[in-house]
This record gives sequence, C-alpha cells and structure tokens, in this order.
Amino acid sequence: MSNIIKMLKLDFSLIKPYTKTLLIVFLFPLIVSVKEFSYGFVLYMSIMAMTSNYTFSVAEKNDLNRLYGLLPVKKEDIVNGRYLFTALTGVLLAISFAILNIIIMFFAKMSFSLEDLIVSLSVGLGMYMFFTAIQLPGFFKFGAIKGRFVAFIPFIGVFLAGVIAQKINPESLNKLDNIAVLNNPYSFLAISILISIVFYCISIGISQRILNKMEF
Amino acid sequence: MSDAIVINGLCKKFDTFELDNISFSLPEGYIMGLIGPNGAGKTTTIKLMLNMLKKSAGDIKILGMDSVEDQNKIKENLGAVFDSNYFVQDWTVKQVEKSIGIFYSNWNSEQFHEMLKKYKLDPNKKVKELSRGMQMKLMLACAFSHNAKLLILDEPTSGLDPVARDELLDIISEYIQDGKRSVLFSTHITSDLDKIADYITFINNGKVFYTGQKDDFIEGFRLVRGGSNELNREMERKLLGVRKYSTGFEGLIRTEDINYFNKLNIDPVSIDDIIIYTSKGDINNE
Repeated sequence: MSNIIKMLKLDFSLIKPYTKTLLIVFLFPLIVSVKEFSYGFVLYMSIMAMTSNYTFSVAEKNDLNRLYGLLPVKKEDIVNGRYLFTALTGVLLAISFAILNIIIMFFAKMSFSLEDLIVSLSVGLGMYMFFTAIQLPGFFKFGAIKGRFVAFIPFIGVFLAGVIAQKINPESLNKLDNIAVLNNPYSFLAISILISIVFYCISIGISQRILNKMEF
Repeated sequence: MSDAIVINGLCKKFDTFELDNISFSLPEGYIMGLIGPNGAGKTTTIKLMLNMLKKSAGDIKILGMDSVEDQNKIKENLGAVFDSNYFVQDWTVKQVEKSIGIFYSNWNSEQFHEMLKKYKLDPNKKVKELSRGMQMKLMLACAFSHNAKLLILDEPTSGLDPVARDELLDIISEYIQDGKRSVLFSTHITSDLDKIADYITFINNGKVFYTGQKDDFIEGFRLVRGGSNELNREMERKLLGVRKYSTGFEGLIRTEDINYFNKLNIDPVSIDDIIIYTSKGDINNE
C-alpha cells in the first residue's frame, strides 16, 4: 500500500469518531438545496468546501504533528494524502447529492435530463475543487484555527467575479454561448475535471513547499 | 557491538536558543538517560533525531542509517513515547491499531493484542478515557507491536504517579533484555535513571556537559562542604557550582580535584546534585 493511500486512510480515521456530527453537517445543506437541482448543487458543494478544514482541525486539536513526525512517511505523502482525501470527499458528496436528487425527482414525478445533471455536476464539483485548492495551502500554513479566514477567500473571489461580470457588456457575455465546448455537457465536464486537476497540481506544489519548510 | 545512535557535531540555531555541537553515542542493547534542566535542549535533540526539526549542522545516525536520507526506514524500526499521547482522543484503543498499524510493514496484530491484555487496556475504551499511565502503555504497545529496535522516550514519567512510573521502568528494563534493543530516555526525574540507565548524556544550555557511563558520571563528581572562612580562591576556581550560606558553603567539584579540598567534608553526589550545581553556577543563600 502506498504511503499516500495510508495517509488517506488515516484522514478517514481522523473524522471517523465524528461521523454523526458530520452527517448532520452534510445532510442539512443537502435537504435545503435539494429543491432546485442546478443551483442547489452548486450551493451545496460550495458549503461543503467550507468543511475542508475538518481534518486539519482534528489534527490540531489532538496535536497530531508529533504522530506525523513519527510515522514512516514523507511530508509530501501527508500533503498528497490530504488532497486525495479532500478530492475523494468532494466526489462522494457530489454522487450522494445526485443520487438523492434523482430519487426525490423520481418520487415527485419531476422530469430531469442527464445533460442538466452533468452540467450541474461539472459546475458544482469544479467549484468545490477550486475552493479547496485555494483553502488547503492556507490550512497547511496557518492551521485550522488561525487559517479560518482562508476558507472565505474563494467566496470573496466569486463575489468579486460577480461584481466584475455585472460591469461587463451583456453582449460580450452572450458570446460565451457560442463557444461550442461549453454547450456540450460532456466536454464541459471534461474541461471542469481538467481545470480542477490543474488547480490541484498547483495547490499541491504550494502546500508541499509550505510543509517542507515547516518544523514540528 | 554496534551503536544504536551516533550523533556528531549536531547544531541547531533558533532566535533565542542554540544547540551547539552535540555529540554522543549509545551502544546497542543499553539505556541512555538524556538529562538536563528545562530548556537545556533535550527535546530539541530528540526532534532533530526524529527529523521533526531541520539541523543546522552535524550528523545523526540511527541504527546505522542517516536520520534524513533514511528517515522512513528508521521510523519503521523506532518507537516513541512522549509526555502526552499523540493519538486522536476520540479514537478507541482498537481504532489506534487500525489507524497506525497500516504504516508499519512488520506490524504484529497478535503482539498488539497480547500487549493490551498484559497492560489491561480495554480495546473498546477511548484514548481520552485512559489514565496517563494507561496512555503511556498504549504508546508502548504500539512501539512493541512493530518490533521497534530503538525506543525514544521524552519525559515519559512526568505526571505519572510512583506506581505507574515504576511499572514503566520495569517495562523498559524488560524491553532491552534481548540485548538488541536500545532506549534513549529524556527526563528530569533523575531517580528513574538511577534505577535503569547505563549511560548518561547531560545537556546544559544547548551543550553537552557529560556523556558516558552513568557510574563514571556519578563517580566523576563530589559534593564538598565547609565553613565560610575555609574557601580560598584556588578552591573557588575548582568549584563547578557553589551554594553559599551565612555559616559556610556547599559546592560541586570534579573527583580529580579532590586534593584541593582534602581538609573539608566530601560526599558522593546524586545526579540531581550535578544538574542543580552545574545549571545554576553560584547560588548565594546568604
């Protein structure tokens, strides 16, 4: 078993004792946002990105740096494991959300299209990956408690993007509709995954540098 | 006989403290006490050995391997006990094994459960529900379950009651029985070392004051007592530390300097005496 997988398992062990609390944290926004699939999903994934400091918080509360210092793993493995854990959590949350929505829509006899599902998945998951890619280096640098402000940075970024978008000529924005790749849900999903991978690679590089410089 | 630990010219600079040219070695199969007052550099030395801090200079070889290059191989063969446990408080003892065991290729689950039975640790109890002594035993059970060849203990007995301390010392003595395992034991409770240590390394103000066999350490110093008018300048120069009273003085000397004080009362010293006098230098109680 590779050290990254071991670290991933350790991260799941960190949150295991708090599963019940986390289920409430995960389910409440799910129920709130379930009425409107597309917007609800993006909202849900954005809220879920706010929980990415949970493992850092448990590690900090229990002073686990001493444990990390004792385990036969490199600091890079700790970083990679944490990113894998965060990404996997995002994928699992997205799948749970999609399944739950499909079930609700089926029983409510509401119609939905696969294209809608894929586009929502692409935006929601892409948003989650983008948010966490910005947050994680901050948590590695400042820890979960001091680094709480980092969790809000992506939201400020999105808000600013919205403000800027309002000032852009609507005709220019309409031109986006003409980009063929954005109109195809499958290529949209592929682009979303690709951009997420690029963000994560940059973010992992920064976090590895931070942790390598850190002494504990 | 090979060495479990070899440290040469180890330096670490901080803004307000410097670990300066630390060198010592521990032969395989023995227990070394790492002693010194608070802030002397004991924990810094241990953290450098575990590669938790980056050294400024020097070499650290553990079990014949470089502490930086071969850190994963070293850590596979190393166990550690700190003054407080390093597991998630809400983990059960069983979860500790599940979470930690996967990191060691030679983890022996049977051995772990035997240890739990021996130490009367309930697998379903949470770490936070265990007493300090039991938490210590859990850390030891983990170290023994991956057959650690070197055990590093950093102030393990602080906060333990005398019974738990005695139990811990028995466990450590038993651990080195096969002659292939070694222990580095950092403490300022020196009575523990009287019982089990073979070697002593005494660090003071970031420098090694003494490293070698425990008996030589204790035999190497004497406590001298005399009246206030019995202390001349030559004698004062030979005192490593002195406590002055209105009626006289009490000071630490090297055994080799005993001839300078042969008209005075000279007594054997304890490890505590050596630490106190060398750390404080002149103590005036007038």
